[in-house]
Amino acid sequence: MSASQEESTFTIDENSRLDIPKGAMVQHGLGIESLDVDDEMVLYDTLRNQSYRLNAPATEIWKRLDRGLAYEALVADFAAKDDSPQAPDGVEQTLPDFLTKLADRGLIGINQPS
Amino acid sequence: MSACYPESVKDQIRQGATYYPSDPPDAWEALRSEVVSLRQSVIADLMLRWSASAPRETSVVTYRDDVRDLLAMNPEDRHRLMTHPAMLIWLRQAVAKSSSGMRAGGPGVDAVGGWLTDFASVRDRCVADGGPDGLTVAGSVRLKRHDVDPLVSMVSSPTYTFPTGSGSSAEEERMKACEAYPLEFFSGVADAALGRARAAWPALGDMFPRFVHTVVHVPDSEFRSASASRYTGLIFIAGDDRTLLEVEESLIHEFGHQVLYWVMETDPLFENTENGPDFTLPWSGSERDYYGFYHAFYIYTLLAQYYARVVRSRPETRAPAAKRLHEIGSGLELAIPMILSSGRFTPVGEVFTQNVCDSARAVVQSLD
Repeated sequence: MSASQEESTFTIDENSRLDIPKGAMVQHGLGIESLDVDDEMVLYDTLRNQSYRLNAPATEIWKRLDRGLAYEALVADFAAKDDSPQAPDGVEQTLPDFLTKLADRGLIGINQPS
Repeated sequence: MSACYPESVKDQIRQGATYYPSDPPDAWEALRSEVVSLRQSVIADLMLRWSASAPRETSVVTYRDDVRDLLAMNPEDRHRLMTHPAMLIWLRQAVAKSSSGMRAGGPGVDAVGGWLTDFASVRDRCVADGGPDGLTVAGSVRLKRHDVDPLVSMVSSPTYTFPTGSGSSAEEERMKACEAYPLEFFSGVADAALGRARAAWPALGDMFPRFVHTVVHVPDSEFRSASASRYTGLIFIAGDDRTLLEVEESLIHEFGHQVLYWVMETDPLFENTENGPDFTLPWSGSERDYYGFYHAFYIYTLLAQYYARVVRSRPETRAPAAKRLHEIGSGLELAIPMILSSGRFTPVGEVFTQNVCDSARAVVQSLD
C-alpha cells in the first residue's frame, strides 16, 4: 500500500548536516498540509504531490515549527522540555540532521538573518 | 532525557527479527503497531490529497468528515478496524483508484469518488462484524462460509468464487458439497487444532488471532487452504485434511502467509517481480515465481519449527510429525541457496532473509 502512495517515513537518526546560520528562522514550507494520526503525522506537499509520514519524535519537532522559530530558540525550546516524553534525545545533535532532510524536500523554509 | 525512539520494524530486523513465534512478543507487537500506523497514514493521506485537489467535491467533503470521525475513535477500536480484511480491501482499491485519478490527464476525483463515499458503510460493516454474533475460533477469529463481506467476494477470485445464488446445477452441486457437515462442526475441529497448536507452541497460539482475522471454510473448493495479499487477514480452509495434525498444518501455513504480508507492508524485501514459474518448490514439486517461492520458504521454515516442537511435546503424533519434519527439512536444505542466490533484495530484505535462513539452517542442522 505504501509504495503507491509515495510515502516516506522520517526518522532523525541519520547523518547529514545543514549549516544553519545564527539567528535563522525555521518555518513550515508553503503548500504543506498535515494531519495528526495518533502521535504521528502525515504531511502532503501539494506543490510536489508528495506525502510523508513523520514518526512521533519528528512530529514533535514539526509541531514546534508552527510558530516559526529561530533555530537557537528551537534547540533551547527542546532542551528546556526535558520532561517531555516525546522529545528526542540529544536534540542538539539530531535536530540539524532532521531539518536538513526537511529542507532538502522543501518542507521547511530557512530564512537567513538580515 | 531518556532515549525515546520507537523500536521500528527495520531496526528489529537488523537485530535478527524473523517475526516467527520464536521472536520475543514485543517484536510482532511492534510489527502490528507499525503496520496499523501505516494503514491509518494512507487513509489520512488520501484525505489530504483529495482535500487539496477537489476540496468542495461532495465525496471528498464526506470522506474528510469520516476520516476525522475515524481518527477520533477509541484507538483500540480503530486499530481493530485497521485489521479487518474488508477495510484493507477498501483501502487498496481506494489507493489504486486515487493513483489513477491523480495521474496527469486522468479522470480526477471521479475515479475515486464512489470509493470515498463508501468508506463509512465499509467501516460500519466492519464494526458490526466485530459483534458477539457469529462463530469464532481461537477466541476471536471469525469463522464464516459464504456470508463474507461483499468486498471479499469481489476480490476472492480466482482463489475462490463465492456462489451467486443463480440456482444453476453447477452451483447446486457446490452447495451439496458444503452440506457434508455444518460450519459448527468445523468450528470444533479448528478449535481443537488450534488448541493443540497452542499447547505445542504457546507463542504461536498468542500470535494466530492477531494476524488471522477470518477463517472461511469452503468444502467445495479445489484447494486445501489458500491466502492472498489482496485479502490480507482472511484465510480459506477447505477441510480436506485427513487428520487433526494436517488441519494444524493448514492453519499454521496460512497464518505464516499473513505474517509475511504484514512484514512486506513495511518493506518489499526483494525486487524480483517476474511472473514466470521459475522455481520448483522442493516440498511439493509445484512451480512458482520468486514471490511464491519466498513465501513458501518462509512458511516451511515456520512449519519445520512447529513440527520440531510437536515431536518433542506430543508423543501420540511424534511419528507423523517427525516424518513431516524430515520432508520439510530436506526441502529447506535445497531451498536456502536458491533463495539467497536468486533474490534481488532490498537492504532490509537482505538482512531479513539472512535471519530466516539462519532459522532454516538451525532446523536442518538439528536433523543431522
